[in-house]
Amino acid sequence: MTEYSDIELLQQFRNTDSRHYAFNLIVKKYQRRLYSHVRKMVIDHDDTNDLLQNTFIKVWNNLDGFREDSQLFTWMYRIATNETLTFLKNKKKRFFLPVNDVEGELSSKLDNSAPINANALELKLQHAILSLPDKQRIVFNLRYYEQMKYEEMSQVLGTSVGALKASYHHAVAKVEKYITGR
Amino acid sequence: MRKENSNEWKEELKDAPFLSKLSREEPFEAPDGYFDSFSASVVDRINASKKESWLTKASILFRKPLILIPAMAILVLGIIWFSKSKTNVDTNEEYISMNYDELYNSALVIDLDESVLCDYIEIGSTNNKTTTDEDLMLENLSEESLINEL
Repeated sequence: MTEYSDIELLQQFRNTDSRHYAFNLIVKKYQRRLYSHVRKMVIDHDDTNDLLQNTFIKVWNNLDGFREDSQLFTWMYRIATNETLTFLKNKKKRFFLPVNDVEGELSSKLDNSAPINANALELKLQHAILSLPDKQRIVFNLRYYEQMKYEEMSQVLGTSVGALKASYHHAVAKVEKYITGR
Repeated sequence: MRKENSNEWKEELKDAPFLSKLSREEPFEAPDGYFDSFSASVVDRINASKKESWLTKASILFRKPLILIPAMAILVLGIIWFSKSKTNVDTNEEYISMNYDELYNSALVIDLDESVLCDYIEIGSTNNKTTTDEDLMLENLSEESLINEL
């Protein structure tokens, strides 16, 4: 299947006749990347599925108003990130849980997640990442796993490049310390 | 998006030997076939939300009369009650300001039943007659016979 550029997809989406087709292509193009981005944050597959569906529904509803100030994929990452952060925030509010309890819940989900629980080293890394604050976790994941550029991360998170670099530097130090115990 | 062997990226991990050695493979996997049907499930939800929003609008329109009818009924009853109580107050004030002739000609007097008036006249005349008889009796009694009566 030909992979269209984002600009081509947007042009097709704005054409009423090819709107549904273009949206389908957008979903196919980004579903895996956004899935892994959300899944690393909420751990649970079902929660990820709900959040990913909400993300694409918002994309469908708002793509007409997309002004192309940013790239399509950073705009979609931004929607997915906001959905995820809101989900985690509501989870803490709903159950009046302290931060550590939500982390504990995610941690136990992590222990039961295949295939990650088969690899002790990988499991330890994920526990270390889980110990970071939510926003710092996102910064770490985007940079460490996806090697996203800081300028793109800045568009996703609405934070300055300098602040993101500092945040990632601290996150790396914390994770390394958690794993090695030093 | 990934830029393997990115120097900047490696440089950032120079103080983290453990992290720099890891493979950085995706830690989580989606269930088999998940992505094959995902876009269809999104489209289904979009269509469902369109129907839902249409139904929501329709239900609001349907619900409006249910809210409006009791509200209108209360409003109408309120207006009737208010206008009635206002009429009573007006009537009382009107009577107070009336002179005798006006009052006589007013609906209150006119509405009196004729038979009630006749009864009133008869009772009045009977009372007068009794009084007259007693007076006559008293007049005809002598002082002596009065003492005997007592």
